[in-house]
Amino acid sequence: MLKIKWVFAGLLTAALCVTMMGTSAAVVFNLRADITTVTMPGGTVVPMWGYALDSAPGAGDGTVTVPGPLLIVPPGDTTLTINLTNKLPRPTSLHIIGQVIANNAGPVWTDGLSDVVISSGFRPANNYTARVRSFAHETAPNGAQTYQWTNVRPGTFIYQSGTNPAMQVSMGLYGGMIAGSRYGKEVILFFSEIDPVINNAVVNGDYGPGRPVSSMLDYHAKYFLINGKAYPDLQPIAAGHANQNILLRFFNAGLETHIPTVLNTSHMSIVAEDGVRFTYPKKQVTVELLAGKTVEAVLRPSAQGQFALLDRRLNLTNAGLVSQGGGGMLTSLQVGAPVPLAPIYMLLD
Amino acid sequence: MFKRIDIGRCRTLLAAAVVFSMVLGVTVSASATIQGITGTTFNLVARTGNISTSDGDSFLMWGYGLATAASMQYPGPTLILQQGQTITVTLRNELPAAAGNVSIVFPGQIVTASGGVQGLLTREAPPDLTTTVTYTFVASEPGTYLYHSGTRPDLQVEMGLVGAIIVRPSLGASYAYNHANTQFDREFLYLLTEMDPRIHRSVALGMYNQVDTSNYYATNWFINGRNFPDVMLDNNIPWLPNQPYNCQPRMHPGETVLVRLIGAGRDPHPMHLHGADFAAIAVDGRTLESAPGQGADLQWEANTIRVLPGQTVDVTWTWTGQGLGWDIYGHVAGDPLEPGEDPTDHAKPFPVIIPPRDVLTFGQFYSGSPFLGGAGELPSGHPGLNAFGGFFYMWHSHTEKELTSNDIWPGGLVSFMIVEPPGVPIP
Repeated sequence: MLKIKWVFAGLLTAALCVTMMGTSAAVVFNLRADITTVTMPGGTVVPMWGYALDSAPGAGDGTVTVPGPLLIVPPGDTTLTINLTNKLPRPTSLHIIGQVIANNAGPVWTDGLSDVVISSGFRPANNYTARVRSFAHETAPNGAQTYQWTNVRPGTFIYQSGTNPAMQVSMGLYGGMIAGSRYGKEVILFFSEIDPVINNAVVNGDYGPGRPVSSMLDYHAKYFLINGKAYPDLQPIAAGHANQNILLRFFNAGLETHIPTVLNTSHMSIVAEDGVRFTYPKKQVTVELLAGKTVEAVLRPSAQGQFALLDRRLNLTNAGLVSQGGGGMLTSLQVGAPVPLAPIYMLLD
Repeated sequence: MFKRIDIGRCRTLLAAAVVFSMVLGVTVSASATIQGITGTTFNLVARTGNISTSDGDSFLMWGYGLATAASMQYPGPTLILQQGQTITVTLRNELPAAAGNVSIVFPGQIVTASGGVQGLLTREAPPDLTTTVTYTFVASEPGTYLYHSGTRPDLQVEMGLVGAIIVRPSLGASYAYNHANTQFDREFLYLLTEMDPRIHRSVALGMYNQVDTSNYYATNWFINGRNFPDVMLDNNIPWLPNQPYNCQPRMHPGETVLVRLIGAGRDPHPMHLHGADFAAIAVDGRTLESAPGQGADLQWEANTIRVLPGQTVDVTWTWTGQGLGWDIYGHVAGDPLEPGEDPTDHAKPFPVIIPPRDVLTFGQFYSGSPFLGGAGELPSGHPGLNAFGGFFYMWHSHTEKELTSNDIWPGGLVSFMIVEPPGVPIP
């Protein structure tokens, strides 16, 4: 046993070295905000805005997805750089909920009456009608800008548009960012919604003050998505093995509260929200996933099987199409047979 | 004008009140327990039926009923189980063919299903009257749970296919969980649901294609399948044949009450308990504990609890009159303490001079006296719904628009906890 302990100590030291080496690293992503479409079950095509991961700034070789590419900041990394290229018809910007941007030249102010920018940074002196359009400096259409976070804290986060987010986030400008240590098996569960009326109005120039759809007040979600898809287009998600701790990373970029629920297996242990760990995990079947929030939960299935995962707010329809029998935020976690314990676990006794 | 407590007088009143309630079915003797069925095997049938709402309306529902009964009920039978037992629930489908298959899921339980046909979430019973689906699980952990349809739940839960499950701990039926700090004297069920009447109208007319659950907009709210004030009537009253369960919490001062809240619909509800703060002790059938075996050591106190859809929350609540600053019995110095009385305010005088009767408005739950167990002259025409001089505390949703039944106030998510004077029998 003593020898094993020494081996363990060695591994620990090695792990620490890797971690310390990691602190000097800095991860860079080249994102492109661009237009795309998604096809919902039933065939409705909805115009969307999304993000693509390009090989170099402006390369344009990535595929636009909704949600955008998952950005992973490795353990020990504290600096995240995103080079954003904007191929949208509107200015846009980036914002990570729960992380402090280091090079913010914003916010960007309009005069409050029109879309004319009058200031970046502080509110113009003695101007009480100016309004913030962007939380951070903007990337103009066909322009490029860099957004940098130099003090990244670990956890699960949402990156999204920081410009007119009520509209731009609903158009699809959102994605997941995770930082810090990882579980052996993790599942990404990204919740969002679509109101096709809003999206069509935006791309047809019918959105905004004085236009047919004047604001997001008219938002009424008709499609309910997990990882950008609605049932039956959602496929079962591979989720590790029985008797294994599986980390479920929940994100909600929609405008409504969702209640992810896993049926027919062990209670989840909810361990963190918004990247902040709980002192005591909460054992629950239901997860309160508020708009703009992230939740981390550990599922340790006691048996293999396919376990339904759904929104218990029962957003289980695709715009009311009855003929499909089921839709919306419904998928399943596919859990495999238990794997024999690796010898390393013996060290924990 | 009003009398101080006279417990002997309460007993005299009791006989009159029982007769009164038998005539009118009102609250004075409404059963204050969780009614349900016990056992290990439950044979359920999904059927159609109508319910009445407190605004005088009637709606077509789909509900679970006992196979031995003639009808459905809303909500389905409350299953009261014993920890460790293997439970079998069978289901047949007597819904109209257009309603399609039906099923049951048991969130928080690990279920084996057999028979019928495979559906999206579990095995389902087709609407052929005969096919039986069997669900089996071990009630391994005590607590409050729910069951509901796993077949097109956005429609079928709305239509009424929901029910409650209570698992009694091995420690004993007066405990919520297997720990001494979860002991209670009385328990009450708050199974919360909502209704969008348009969906029920469309279904009743067979216009299934009109049903778009993404347009869901609730205007009716229920506790245990009834609106206020119907919740205060007794269990099993004949004129609500498909809504057997009431919600009429009653207690004596100093007792500990366990309130089992279930979000069975699709909207969250902030339930607000007047009278005292509660302690939240468990969520989804698991105590709020720092480590296994600690009981509810992480319990927290508040006066409003959010109940999420699909979630269960257990809270404990007690009331002694503590903090009122006056003696609730109108004691004078030297009087003995009543059972459960908080001694801090003993013999402190009532701080208000009661104005004459003809300048007062009398609530229907006012006894005529501010003192617990007191009584006083009431104006003619007053319904006299508080025969024992109890204190009525409104327990309700803090989303105040939910205190209506289809825009008629009062209705919806309201009931009253009645703190009855010591000695008043609580059935």
